Amino acid sequence: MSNVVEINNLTHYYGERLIFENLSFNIREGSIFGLLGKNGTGKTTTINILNGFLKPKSGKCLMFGEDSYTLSPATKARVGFLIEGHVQYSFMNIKQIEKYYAAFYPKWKKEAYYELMSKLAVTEHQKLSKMSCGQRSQVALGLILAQDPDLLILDDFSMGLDAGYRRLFIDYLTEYAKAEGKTIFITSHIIQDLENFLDDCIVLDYRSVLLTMPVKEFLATFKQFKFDVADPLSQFPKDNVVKNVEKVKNRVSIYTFSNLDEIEHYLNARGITFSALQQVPMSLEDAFIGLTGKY
Amino acid sequence: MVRYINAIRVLLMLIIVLAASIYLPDFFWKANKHENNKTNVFYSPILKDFVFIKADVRQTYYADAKGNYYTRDEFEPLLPFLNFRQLMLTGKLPESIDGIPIRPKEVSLNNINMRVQPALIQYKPLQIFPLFESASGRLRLELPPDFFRIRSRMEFITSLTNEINEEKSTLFTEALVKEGFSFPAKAIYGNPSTKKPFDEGYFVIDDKGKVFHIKMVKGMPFCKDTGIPTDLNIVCMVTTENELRESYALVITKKNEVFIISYDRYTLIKVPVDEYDYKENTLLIKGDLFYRVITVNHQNGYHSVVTDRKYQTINRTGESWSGSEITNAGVIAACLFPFTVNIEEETTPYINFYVHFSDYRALFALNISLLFAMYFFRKKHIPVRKAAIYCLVVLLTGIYGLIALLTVKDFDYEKRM
Amino acid sequence: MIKALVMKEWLKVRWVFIGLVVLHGAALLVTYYDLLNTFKIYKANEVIIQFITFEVVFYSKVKYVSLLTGLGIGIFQFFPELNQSRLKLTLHLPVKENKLIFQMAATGAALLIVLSVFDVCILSLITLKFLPREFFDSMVTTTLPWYLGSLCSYFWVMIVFIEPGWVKRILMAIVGIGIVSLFFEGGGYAMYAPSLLYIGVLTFLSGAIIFLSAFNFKRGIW
Repeated sequence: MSNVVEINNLTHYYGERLIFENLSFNIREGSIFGLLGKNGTGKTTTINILNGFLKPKSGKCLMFGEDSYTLSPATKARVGFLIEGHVQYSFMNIKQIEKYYAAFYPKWKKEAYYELMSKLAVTEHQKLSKMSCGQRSQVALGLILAQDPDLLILDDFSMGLDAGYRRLFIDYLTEYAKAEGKTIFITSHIIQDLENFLDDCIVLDYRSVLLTMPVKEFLATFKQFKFDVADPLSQFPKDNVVKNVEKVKNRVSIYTFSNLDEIEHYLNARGITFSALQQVPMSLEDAFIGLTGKY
Repeated sequence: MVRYINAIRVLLMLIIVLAASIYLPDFFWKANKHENNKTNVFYSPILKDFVFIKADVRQTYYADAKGNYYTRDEFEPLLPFLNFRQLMLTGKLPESIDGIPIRPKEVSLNNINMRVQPALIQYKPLQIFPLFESASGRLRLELPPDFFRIRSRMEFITSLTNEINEEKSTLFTEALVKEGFSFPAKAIYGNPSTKKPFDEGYFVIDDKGKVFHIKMVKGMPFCKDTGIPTDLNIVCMVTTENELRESYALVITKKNEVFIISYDRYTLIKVPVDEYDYKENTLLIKGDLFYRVITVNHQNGYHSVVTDRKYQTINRTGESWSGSEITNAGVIAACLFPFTVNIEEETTPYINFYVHFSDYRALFALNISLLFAMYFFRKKHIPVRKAAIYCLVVLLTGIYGLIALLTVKDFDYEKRM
Repeated sequence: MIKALVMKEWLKVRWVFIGLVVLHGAALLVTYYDLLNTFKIYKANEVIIQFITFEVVFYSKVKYVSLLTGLGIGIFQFFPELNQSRLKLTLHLPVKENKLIFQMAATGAALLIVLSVFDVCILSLITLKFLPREFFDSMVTTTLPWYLGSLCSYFWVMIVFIEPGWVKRILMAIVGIGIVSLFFEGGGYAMYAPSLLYIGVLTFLSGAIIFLSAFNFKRGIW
C-alpha cells in the first residue's frame, strides 16, 4: 500500500519561534489519519503546509508524490479541503455555491451535496451567511463530498459544532471512507469523536512529536496506573517509563507504555512505598490527555 | 507562481523608489523651507546706471550699482518714470531730464511691462478663441457671440446654438486662402480677454510655418501674411496690445532669441537677452520713456540688459547668489537624495515626472545604502550573489532603494532557491 | 470555469456595483443640470470664455467618484477573501494559481472599465451638446488619469488585502496611497497630457504587483 502523504523532516518557524522541528510521518492510502495536539502545537501550520499555503523553512512535504507547495491542478482536484471553521463563501446561497464548485470538478456528484442539504431545514436560495454554524458545516461537508476527492483534509471539523452535528459529520465521513482508496486526514481538538474512527494518529506537543502509531496500538499499549503513596512528597520525574504523572495528595496516576509488572519493579527500585496499585481503563481522550498533560 | 516573482519584486522596489523620490524630498523641503531672494532691476535715467530693489523675507532694500543704499524716499526720485504718480503727489517730479520735458501723460503711455514665464510658453490652451471686433467704435471690447478654430478651414461656432456659422466661416476662410494661408493652423497666439485697451486679433502660424495676422475689422476679415521668416522656429508669441502701439507681439524662438514684431510692417526687432533659456527662465521687459530693461531671471540670479528705445544695448549687469544648495539642508539633500522627482514644477503647467539628479555628493548615501543592504542580506544569511539585483537597485537609487528593500523585506525565499 | 469565477466575483460586488452605477449616474446628472443651469443664467459665450480662461473642470465630480469606485469595488471584492483567509478556497481550486488571481483582478478591472466608459460616453454627450468639440477632446485627456487612477487604486486595494502580514500590509497601503495620489493632482484641463503614457505604465505595473502579494499569501507569513 502506498503513501498518499509523505512528510519528511519538516521544520518551521514563525520568525524566531520554532513551531516544530524535523516532523516526519506518512499517511497510508485508504487510512484515516488523525493529527492530534493541543492548541498551538502546529496542527493548522501542518495543514497549511500540506495544502501549499505555507512554505516550510525546511523539509519535504509530498502529496500524491508532488511537492505540496506546487501542486498541479490535477492533484488539487483529488484533494478536498475543509478550512478551520467550515469557511465557505458566505455571500452565496445553497444553489449558487454548488453551481460554482461544479464548474471546477469533472467528477462532481451533485446528488451527494443535495442529499445532505435535504436534511437541513434550509431553502435553496438561503445565503450561507444566514445559516447556523452547524448548517454551514454541512454545506462545507456536502461540497467536499460532491467533489469526491481521494484525499480529504479536515482542519478542526468539530469547531463550533454541537454533539449532534459532530456525530453527523463523523457518520458521513465513515460512509465516505468505506469507498475504495479514500484517505482522510483530520485534526480535531475534541478527541472523543475520533475514538472509533481513526486508524493512525500522530500526537504533537510544543516543538516535538510525542507519538506516531495506529490508534489501536496506542490504546492497547498506553496505560494508566493509579496507586497511593505513603509520602506525598514522592517525585516521579518523566523518563522512559513515566510519560506523565498526576498527583492529588497521596493519590498518584502514572501514564506509561510499561505493564503492571514493570511499574511495580520501577516503584520498588526507587524505594517508593505504595499501595492499591491498579490499571485504570482509558478512552482515547483520556489517553491523549494522559500523554500530553492537562496544561 | 514562482517564475517571475523576482522580477516582480524588483518592480515593486522600483515603484517604491518612485514614490519615495517624489515624497521624501518634498517632505524634507517642507521641513526645511528656504526663501529665495528677489531682485528687481531698473535703470535710472538720473544716475544713468542700474538700480535695484532687493527683497528678502524680512526687509526691502534699495540700492544702486555702486553699492549705495537708499531709503525709499531717497530712492523713488531715481526712477521718475516708474514713480511719477508718487513724485507728482510730493511735487518732486522733475520738469525735464536731459533736456526732454517730462509730461505725465507721456510717461504713463511709455511705461510698458511684459513678462513671459516658462509655464506660459509651454501652455497650450484650448484651441478655440473669440475674434473681437477690433473697430467697433465702442469704448470697451465686447465678447463676440462665437468662437473660432482653424483646422481644415477657419470655423466660427456660435455659442448659443453650438453650431457653425457657415456664412462667417466661409468669409474668413476665403480671406485666409486669398492671402496664401495653408490649413490647418499650427499655433494661434492672442489674448482672448476683453480687459485690454484695444484688440489686434491673433498671430497664427500656418501649416507651412508662415505667420499671419488675423483680426476682424467692422465685421470683415483682416488677414495679412506678416512675412516673418518661416525658419525662425517660433516657440511662442505674446501679443502686447498696449497703447504705445510700438509692437504687436513678442516672439520667442527655439534658439532662445527674443524679437519684437513692430507696428512698422511687421519688422522684427531683435531684443538683446543674456543667458536666456525659455524652458527655465522668466523674461521681463520693462520700458519707459528712455529705456528698455530686459531681465532674465534665473533661479538664483538674473541677467539684465538696458537698451535704448530701439533696443540698442547701452549696458548690462547680472548677479547670482547662492540658493538653497549651500544651506545645511541643501547639502544634506544633495548627499541624501541621488535624484528627486517632481510631478509639478513652476516652469511648466503640466504634470509629468520631472527628474533632477544630485551631483557627486550623492555617492556618499549611495554607498552607505549599499552597505546597509549588504548587511541586511548578510543578517538574513542570503549570499550577496543571489541578492545582486536588489543590491544593484540600492546602489543606483540610494536611500530610496534602501527604503524599498526594507519595505519589500521578504527575501528569505531566495535562500532556498 | 471562467464563468463560475466571474460569477463569484460578481456576487461579491453586485450591490456595490449597482450602488456605484447609481452614484455615477447621479454625478453625471448633477453635472448635466449644473451646466444646463449655467447656460440658462449666463450668456453662452460668457460661459465659454470663463471655461477657457480659468479651465473650469465642470465634470470634476467624476474625479472623486472614480477614486471611490476603484476603492469600493476593491474593498467589496477582497474583504471577503481576506476575512478568514477565504482566498485559500479559491487558490485550492484545480486551476493554476496565477490564472485564478488574474481572473479575479480582470473581473474587477472589467467592471471599472465599464463604469469609466459609461462616464466618458455620458460626458461626451453632455459636452458636445453645449460646447465645441475642443472641450470634448480636453475632457477625454483630463478624465483619463482619473480612470487610470481608479484602476490603479483598485489594484492597490487588492495588493493590500491579499498581502498576508499586517506590517507589510500597512507599508503597502502607504505606498499605494502615494502612488494613487499621483493620478489625482492638478485642477485644469489636460494637465496630464505629457505623462499619460507614464501613468498608464504605472497602472499596468501596479497590476503586476498583485502577483507578488498572492505569492506572499501562498507562502505564508514567516
